[in-house]
Amino acid sequence: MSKVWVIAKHSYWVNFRKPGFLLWTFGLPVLGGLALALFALLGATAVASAVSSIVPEANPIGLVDETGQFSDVPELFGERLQLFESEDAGRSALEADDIANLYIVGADYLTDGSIRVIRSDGASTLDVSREIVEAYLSDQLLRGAGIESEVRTRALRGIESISEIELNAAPDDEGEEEDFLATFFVPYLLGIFLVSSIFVASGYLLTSVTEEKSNRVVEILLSSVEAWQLLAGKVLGMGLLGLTQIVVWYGSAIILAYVATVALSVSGLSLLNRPSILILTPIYFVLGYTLYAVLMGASGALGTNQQEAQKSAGLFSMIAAAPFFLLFVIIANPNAIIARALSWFPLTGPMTMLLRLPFAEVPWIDVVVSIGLSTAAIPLAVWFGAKVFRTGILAYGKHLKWGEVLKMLRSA
Amino acid sequence: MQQVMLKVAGLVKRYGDFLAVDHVSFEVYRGEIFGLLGPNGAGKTTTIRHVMDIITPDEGEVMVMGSPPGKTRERIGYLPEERGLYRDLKVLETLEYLGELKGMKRSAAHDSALRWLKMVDLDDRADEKVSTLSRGMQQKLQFIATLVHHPDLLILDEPFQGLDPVNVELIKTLIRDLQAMGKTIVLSAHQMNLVEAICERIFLINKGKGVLYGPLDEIKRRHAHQQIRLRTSTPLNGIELPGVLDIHQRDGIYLLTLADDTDPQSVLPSLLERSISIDTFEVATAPLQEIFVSIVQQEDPT
Repeated sequence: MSKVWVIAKHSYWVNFRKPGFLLWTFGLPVLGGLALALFALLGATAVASAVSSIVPEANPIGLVDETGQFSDVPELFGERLQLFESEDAGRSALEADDIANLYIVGADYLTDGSIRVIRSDGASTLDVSREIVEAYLSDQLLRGAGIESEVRTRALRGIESISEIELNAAPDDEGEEEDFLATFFVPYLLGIFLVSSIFVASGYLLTSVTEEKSNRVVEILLSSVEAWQLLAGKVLGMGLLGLTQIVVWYGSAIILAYVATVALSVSGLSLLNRPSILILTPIYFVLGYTLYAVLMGASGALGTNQQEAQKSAGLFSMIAAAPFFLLFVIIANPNAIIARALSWFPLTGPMTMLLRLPFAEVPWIDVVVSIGLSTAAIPLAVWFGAKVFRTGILAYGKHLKWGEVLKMLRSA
Repeated sequence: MQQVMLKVAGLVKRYGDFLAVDHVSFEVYRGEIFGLLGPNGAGKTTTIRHVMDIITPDEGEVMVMGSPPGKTRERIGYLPEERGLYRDLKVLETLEYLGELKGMKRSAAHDSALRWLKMVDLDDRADEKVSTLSRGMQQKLQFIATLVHHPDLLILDEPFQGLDPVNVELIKTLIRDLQAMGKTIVLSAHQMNLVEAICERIFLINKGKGVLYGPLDEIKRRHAHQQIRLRTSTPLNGIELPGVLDIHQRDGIYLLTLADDTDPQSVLPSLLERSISIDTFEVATAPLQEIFVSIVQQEDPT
């Protein structure tokens, strides 16, 4: 174990000193601080306008009223809805790409409730546009029934804010209102950075193995330690490096969130204080990193240079990155079946859970199964990784393909 | 009875259908410099990797200082043929790390590293990055990296590779000094003149098989061509000597070719009887280079 620790310490310090690591680890909190300062200086409106310039507004929904009962578009629907006199006028607007879809409210809508939707070729009708149209129709019908505006608005908007108060909390200890920053932006960044720290630490591991193989240091190392000790030391060292990154990011995130809450009345701290985040994040990091790093280390041993090693690691990288490809599906519904399935599969589980946790309270069964299966997969990965590592690390000058390695392992 | 430091018995290693090492056996004794020789691809490095427990044999046994390989890593210093260093690490830091991996405490590795750096005139470069050293300096650094942890057995695979004549002499002297300190050295090299100069016994491996093994002097005598080298001021033209088939002069030295059954020692009295003044009398032995080449070519005439 002492030799594993010597290798771990060495791997840690050699990579900690790299400018790229220092910049990424400590530069990010500095950037966060600068962004917060900018927010404080320019105000939320300016930031919102900057965001809206990056994310373009969608086209309004067109609507033709054949019942003759709906006359105008209340302010509540803003720019999202546009009325047309006739179907032809609406079709022209759709062809000119001025509207997203054209809803035609039939003359018998009050009795049969039927509506036709015309959409551009190849486009789809989003649920959100249907919700807007339904809300508009409800509003108009309520108005027709003589319900006053304020009541109609509340009926349509439903609950907009919930403040949670603990039974014995002090009067001023009320929960903060959750806003966009707290419900989307912070969880999004938190998930992305946690997962990226796994990739960063594993990437350093892959580089380190490839370097030692290509500059032939590895033969000297293997005369002093066994192959599994070398791999284990590197996995441990780089894992500690990744944890350092997380601690720095997490610590600075808490400080920045505190500053944001106190100075700018922006919420975000509650997320970082959630027990499920605090306890499960390090567990999933360790599980995800260990599994992925062992396979990266083994892959690194197969190539003669960085490029070849990355090629060998490609399959695992693709699998591990799967939750990223489905990021928006996971964000839209953190407990969707696809998110749950990815959570249960050991190679994608820890990454997926790190992305899900900040967005929702994840069912406990998912937590138990994902931790259980990933934990069970680690000894298998270590056994397989160490065998591949030992086979590949001394094969100089030849890029071993996975097929060749498996053949060599079978005949060994 | 000499103490066996390394014993290789019936070692076999296959890679698929390729037989890399084929029933190789030899012993290395305490305090000797032992030559492990062979052409490229003969199986030397594979044999050494078994000794270092980097690979495991298919058959046979390796015992290092009476223990299976792997149990004695801390007592072996290994300079591999395929070697390199961390280019971005400092010289001293490199030696400290490698010392620690051999079970030394960081402080002990530090002190030892400084001592060895001084011995090879690299102490003023201790805090510089390895990448700033010349090729020769890096070779010396690699050499002392095998010594930092005070090993009892040294395995040096091509230690003279890439060195200029001055540094070859330095390393040669160091190897002799290490022997004087009681270390056992297994030396693999292609420079036969250097092997001849420092090795006492050799093992020649070719195509995975041991083809020559024993004390170097004995091997050289065994492969001699029944010849005597004689330096004399007396002209030997026309002189007949019993048991001598031919007398030939080259570069001021007479080469006397003997009959197969003639003992070279019996020629000396015949020379003295004829009042021939003798400056030097030497039973000619074959150079190791010649023995090496002839054996390897015999095995593979192409």
